[in-house]
Amino acid sequence: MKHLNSKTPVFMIILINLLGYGLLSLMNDFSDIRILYSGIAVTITLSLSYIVVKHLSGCDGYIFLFVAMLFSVGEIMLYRISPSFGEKQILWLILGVLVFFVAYCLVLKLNFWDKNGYIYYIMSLILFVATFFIGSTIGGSRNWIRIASFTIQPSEIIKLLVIFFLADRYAHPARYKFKQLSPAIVSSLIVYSVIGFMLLQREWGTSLLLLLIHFSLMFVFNDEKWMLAGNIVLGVIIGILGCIFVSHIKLRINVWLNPWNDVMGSGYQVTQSLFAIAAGGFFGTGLGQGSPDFIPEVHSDFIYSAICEEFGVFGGIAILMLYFMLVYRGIRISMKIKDTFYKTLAVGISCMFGYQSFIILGGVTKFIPLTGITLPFISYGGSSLLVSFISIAILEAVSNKEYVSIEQEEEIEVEED
Amino acid sequence: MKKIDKKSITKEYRQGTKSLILLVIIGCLFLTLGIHITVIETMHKDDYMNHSANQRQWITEQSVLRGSFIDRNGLILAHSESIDNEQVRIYDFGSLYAHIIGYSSRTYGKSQLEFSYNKYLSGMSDVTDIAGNFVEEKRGDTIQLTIDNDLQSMAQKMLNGKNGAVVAIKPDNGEILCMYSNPSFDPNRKSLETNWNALVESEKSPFLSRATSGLYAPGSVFKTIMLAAALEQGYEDYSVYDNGTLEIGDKIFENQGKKAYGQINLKEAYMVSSNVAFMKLGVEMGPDIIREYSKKFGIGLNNFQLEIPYKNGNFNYSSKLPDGEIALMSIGQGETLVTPLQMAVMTATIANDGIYQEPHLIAKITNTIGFTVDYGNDSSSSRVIKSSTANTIKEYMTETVERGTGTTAKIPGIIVGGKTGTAENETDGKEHTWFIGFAPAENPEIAVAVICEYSGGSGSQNSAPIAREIIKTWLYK
Repeated sequence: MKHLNSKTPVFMIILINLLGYGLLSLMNDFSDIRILYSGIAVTITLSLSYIVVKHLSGCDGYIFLFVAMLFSVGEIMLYRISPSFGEKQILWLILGVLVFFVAYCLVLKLNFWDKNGYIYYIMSLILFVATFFIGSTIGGSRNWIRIASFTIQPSEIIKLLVIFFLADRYAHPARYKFKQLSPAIVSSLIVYSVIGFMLLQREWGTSLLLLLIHFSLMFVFNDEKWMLAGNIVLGVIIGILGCIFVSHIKLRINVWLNPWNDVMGSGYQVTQSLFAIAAGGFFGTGLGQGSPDFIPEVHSDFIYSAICEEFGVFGGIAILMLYFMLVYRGIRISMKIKDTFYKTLAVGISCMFGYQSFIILGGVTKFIPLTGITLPFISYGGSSLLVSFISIAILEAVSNKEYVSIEQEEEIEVEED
Repeated sequence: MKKIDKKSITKEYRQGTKSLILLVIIGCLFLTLGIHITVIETMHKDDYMNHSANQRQWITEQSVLRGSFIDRNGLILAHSESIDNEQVRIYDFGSLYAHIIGYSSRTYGKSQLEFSYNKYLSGMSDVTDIAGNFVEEKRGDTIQLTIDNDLQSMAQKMLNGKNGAVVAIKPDNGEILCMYSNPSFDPNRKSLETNWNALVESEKSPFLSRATSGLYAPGSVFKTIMLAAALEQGYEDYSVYDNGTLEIGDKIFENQGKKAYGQINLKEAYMVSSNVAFMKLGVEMGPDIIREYSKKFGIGLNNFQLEIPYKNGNFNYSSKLPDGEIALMSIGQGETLVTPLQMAVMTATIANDGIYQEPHLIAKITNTIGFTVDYGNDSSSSRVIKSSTANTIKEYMTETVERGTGTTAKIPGIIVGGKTGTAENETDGKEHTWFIGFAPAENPEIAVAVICEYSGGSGSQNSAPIAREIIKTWLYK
C-alpha cells in the first residue's frame, strides 16, 4: 500500500472526504448512517481507481488526482444540498470509473480511431435527428433523450465527437479536400453545421464551447493566419447578429448587463448566485452553514456559487486552480506526442475542460452572460460525468500511447544501428 | 530525409509554442475569474448582503432582536417584539416616521434608515457583534434620532389633508428636529401588506419623501439667495423703480397681483417680494454671480452626508442665457429645482451667522449594554456667507414677518424672521406655496421650511401658519 501513506497526494483526497462526510454526519448528529456509507463509497472508489491508474505504466497520475479532488469537493457539496442527488451521483461515479477504464483500454488498444473522420460527423447527425424525434423537453430545451428511466444529453457526446472529427481533419487533411475547397473550409463548414444544430436546440453554452475549441485547434494546427482571422471575424459577426436578433440571446445579454432591473424575475438566478458568493467571504461560512438553497438549480449549473458560499473565495479559487492544472497536464501530454491525431485530441480535450468550466463559472459569477452548461466533475448529472470521465480516459490513453510510441521508436532506432 | 525531419521538428516546435500560448490564454481567463470573485467579495459584499432580495439577512436577523429607534428625548418610535418565535417590527407612531425610519419587511425589503443602518439594527456592527457573545439574548443597537416627537406630530397635524412637507433644523448644530412629508403611509407589516399595491399606484405618491426628494421650484424664496449675492457683490445700495411690470424681449413679467411699488431699495423689494426689482437686479448681476451663490447654498450639488437618500435639486443653466431666462432664474422659476430640506438648511445657515452645519438625523447609536457605538455622521461645518451679510438678511427677514408678506407667521413675544414664496407649476393652475423662517431672531433656535403643494393662494396664507405652529411648539417647550 505504498500509495496510501500520508505523504502521497491521494491522502489529501481521502482526508477531504473524511472531513466532508464527517461534518455532514455531525450536522445530523450521526443519525443517518447512509452519509458515512456514501463517504466510504466515494473514498474507496476514488482511491482504488487512483492506485490502478498509478499502476498502469505511462498514465498521468496527476490528472486523475485533480479529477478526484474536483469530484470530491463537488460531491460533498452536492450531498449537502440534496442527499438524494448526492447518492445518485455516487452511482454515476462508480459507473463513470468503469467507463473510464473501458474507454482507456479501447483507445489504447484499438487503432481505427483515425480511419475516417466523417463517421464522427454522421454520428453527431444521427444523435441530432434522434433528439428531434424522440427527444424530450427538460428546462425549456428539447435536448434530452430518454432511454428507460435514464435521460442522456446528446450534446455532451457530440462535444467529444466534434473533437474526434477535428483530430482526424488535422491528421489527414487530404480527406477533407473538395475540388477548390481547402480542408480548412470544409472542416469549418462541418463544425458550423454542428453548431447550427446546437443553436436550434438552444444549447448556447455548448455552441460557444465548440466554437472556441474549433478556433483554438485552428490556431495551433493550421498555419494559415488569414483563415483563423476570417473564422474569428465571421464568428464575432454572427454572434453580434445573434445578440441583436435572437430574442433568447438578447434576454440573456440584458440579464447579464443588468440583473438588478428584474431581481424577482429574469435576474433572480444570477443575483441569488451573487448573494451566495458575497455571503461566503474569503474563508466561507463552512460546510452546511450557508444558505445556497436560495439559488434555483443550485445542484447543477450553480453549484460553484454554493462552493463559494460555504468554502469561500479561497475555495472558489482553489477550484479554478484545479481546472487550470488539469488543462496544463493535458497540454503537457499533447506536447510530447508526435502523432497529429492524438496530439489534436489531447489539445482539444484540454481546451474543452478549460473553456467549459470558464463558460459556466463566468456565467454564474456574472462575468459573462449565463449559458447553461455543466461544470465538469462537479455539477450533478450522469451524461456530463460519464463524458468527462471518457475524456480523461482518452487523455490518459493518449499519454500512454506516447509512451508506447517512444518505445517503438527506440526499437526502430536500435534496428537502424 | 534529414530536411524533412528538420521541417517536421520545427513544425512540432511551433505547435508546442502555440499550445503553450493557448495554455496561457486559458490561464488568463481563470485568473480574471479569480480576480472577479475577489472583487465581488471586496467591493460589493455590503451591497449584496443588504440587498432587499437577499433572503440571507432574515436568517441571521431572526436570531437577533432588531434594535429600536428613539427620538431625542428617548421616546420609542419603532421597536421589535418576539411573538410566537417570530419577530414583528412595530412602528409605534404608524405613518409619522415612514419617510425617516422607513420599513423593514420580509416581503418588500428595507428602506430609509432601516436600510442604511441595518448593520447596527441587526446587531452586526463590530462592537455589538463581539459584545453579543457575552449576553444571553442578542439585541441590535438602539438608534437615537435628533427628531423631536412633539414637533413631528405637530407637523403631521398641520399638514393634514394637504400634500407637502415640513423640515425644521437646529441652526447651531444641524440637527433635524422634524421632517415630515404628507401623504405618508403606515409601515407596519399588516398595513403594508394590505395596501402595498394601492400605495405603489397612488397618484399622490405616498412613498415619496417630499422633504428630501421632492423637487420644487423655489419661487420667491430664491430671492433670499439673490439678496445674499447682491449684498456681497456690491449691490447693497441697489434701488429700482418698480411700476409693476417688466418687459424683456417680447415677454412681459409682472408682480404678484400686478402691484406697483414705485422707487424701492433692496430691503423694501425683499419685504414686498417684488418680482420686477429682483428680475432687474438679476439681469444686472448676470447669471454667473447667481450661479455662484446657488452653489454656495448647495442647490444642484451632492453636498449632504444625510443618513437617508435625498435629491440634489437642479441648477442646470448654460453659461450664455437670454435676459428673459435670467429674469425667471432671479425669482426662482425657470429651471431651478430645490428640496424642502435644502431650503431649511439654507435658512438655518443664515440664522447661524452664515455658517453651514451639516444636517443630520442620528444623534447616537448605543448597544444593549449602553455602550455608545457611533455618533452618526461627523457633522462638518463651513462658512457660506459673511456674518454681516447673514445679519442683514436676518434683519430683512424679520421685517418681512413684522410688516411684509410674512405677517401670518408672527408670534406674540417672539421675533420671527421669514420669507414666503409661491412656485408656479406647469401641470396645474394652482401653485405650490413656500415659507422659510427662523426664531427667535436674536439667537435662532429653530429654522423651518414648509411647502404645501397645489394649495393655491400664497405662502402667507398656507405655509406660514404651519411654520408658526412648529416654531411655537419648539420655543414653548
